[in-house]
Amino acid sequence: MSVACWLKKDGKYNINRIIGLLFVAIALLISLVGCFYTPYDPNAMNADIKNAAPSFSHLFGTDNFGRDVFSRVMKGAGTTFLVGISVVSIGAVCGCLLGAFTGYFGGLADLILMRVNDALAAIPSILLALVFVSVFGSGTVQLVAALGILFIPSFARVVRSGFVVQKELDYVKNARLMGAGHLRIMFVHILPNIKSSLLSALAIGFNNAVLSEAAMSYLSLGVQPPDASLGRMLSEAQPYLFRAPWNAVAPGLMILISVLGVGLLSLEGGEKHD
Amino acid sequence: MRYFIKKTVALMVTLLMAAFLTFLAFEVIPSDAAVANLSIDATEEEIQALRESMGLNQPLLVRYGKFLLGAVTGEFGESTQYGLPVAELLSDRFGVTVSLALLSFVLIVGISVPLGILAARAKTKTGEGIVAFFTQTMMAVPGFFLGMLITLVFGVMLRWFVPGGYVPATEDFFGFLRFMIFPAIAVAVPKIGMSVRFLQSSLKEQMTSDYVRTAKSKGCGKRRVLWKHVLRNALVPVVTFLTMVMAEILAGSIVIEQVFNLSGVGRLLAVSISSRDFPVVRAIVLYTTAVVVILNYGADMICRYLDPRIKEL
Repeated sequence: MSVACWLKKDGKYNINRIIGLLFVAIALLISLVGCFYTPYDPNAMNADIKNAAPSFSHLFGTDNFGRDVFSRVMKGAGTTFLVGISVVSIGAVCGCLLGAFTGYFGGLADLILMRVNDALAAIPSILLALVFVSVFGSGTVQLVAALGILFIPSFARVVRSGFVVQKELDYVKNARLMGAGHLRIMFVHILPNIKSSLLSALAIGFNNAVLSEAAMSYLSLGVQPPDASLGRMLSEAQPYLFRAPWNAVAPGLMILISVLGVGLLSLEGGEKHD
Repeated sequence: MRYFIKKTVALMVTLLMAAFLTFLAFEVIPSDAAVANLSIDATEEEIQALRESMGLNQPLLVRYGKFLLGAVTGEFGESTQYGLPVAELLSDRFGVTVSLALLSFVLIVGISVPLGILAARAKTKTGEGIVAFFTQTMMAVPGFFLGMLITLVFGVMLRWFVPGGYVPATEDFFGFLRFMIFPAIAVAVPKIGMSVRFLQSSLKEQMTSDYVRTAKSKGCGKRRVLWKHVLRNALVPVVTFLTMVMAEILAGSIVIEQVFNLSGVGRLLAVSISSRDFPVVRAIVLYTTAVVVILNYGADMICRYLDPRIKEL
């Protein structure tokens, strides 16, 4: 399926999907280029150009230490997305395994795990992340671990409900008669069939992870200075909001377009399936 | 009645479990309160003596019992950072957080219910697309970034309010509104996006169901179908959803209080975590969890009242 084809829905171009793709592309480009090249050293300070307004030499201006905001956004977006991807990977892999086994086999383990799941889901994840960080200390690794563990239940629930439905279907019985083992049925036969709900769970999870990272770093409990992350930059920008608003607007917009882009893409994917 | 008893027992068990986990979480921290209270060069004997006097050497379960008793009577010991009883610290800040949460909740319900109904009636592809775009945008804005933009525009440029100012609602209601409406908007906007989307999909689901077709074929007017049939049936999922929103508001206000310099419970929590003031952290976490669990219990009760067919799980 070509990209142009995919952008169309019912023969017409779908504007939300185009905007989503555009935003994701911009965010990816900025963060990927930021891994290899930034116009300035993102941590180099320069006292002569504190809080300079946006200009051609400094596209988004400079912050209170004279650091180039655009370079920091490039690096910071990379950090934020890396945290998001790691969190989602931990959550998705563990959640898939847990959801697959409990959904497929059922029984007492299923009952207990789902009760724990419900209890965890009721409590806001940022509160749990705060507890985790206050016990194990703040830092990027702790943040990834905390959010990763907290994201397991949401994936487990999606996968489990898929498995509960799929395991009763004829193709599973067929495969069983053909002599396929349980593990093969679970991961070769059933898992590809719940691809679409898993994909939208991945997108929602990624967005939540990015927003949580931003909030935790904003509270100075996530990524530690001098490393740039989008949330960290926002918290550093706050005292100078009046003198240098670009310090806050640049990372904020970066969060906005990446989360909105992924959101718009996942939204359309889900609707198509219905 | 059986439902009520079962749910109440489940509530008690959940609360006890939450309390135990909160208690346990702060037991595994490598350095305990005695070490934290003394200076770096304290001798081993001094640490042991303080441990003894703080009751840290008693068995785990005895301390858990004391902790529970304290939680019920509101005795949480002293904050290591401020040297004040935790209960006193909390009661000072309680009003700010509760009023922020309530105001945001009113905003969310007041704005998203009409918008959700409107969105559910959007029939064309373009209409649906526009609704989807706007709800996604609202959900993508981090609340604290919105808060900063609001501070910049309304606080710094237009000077409509002073960030960090607060007047209790009981003293001057309009003054209170002037200070609190902006933080409340920052808390509410992402949740409004969520709620509109949820309302739209659950109303749509109801509108395509058989009973709506029957009502229409009986000659029931569009408006009557919506108000008498659809909204009543959509109420159960909406109540459950709103409970979740309430929990999300509490979480959101932790960050928003920081943005607007409001001295509420959330800000106290953030500050206490940074300064490793564990008695305060423990108390706030336990109380917030308890509030969320009790809210869920209340929602279950309301749902059961609205729809008696709901079976006990």
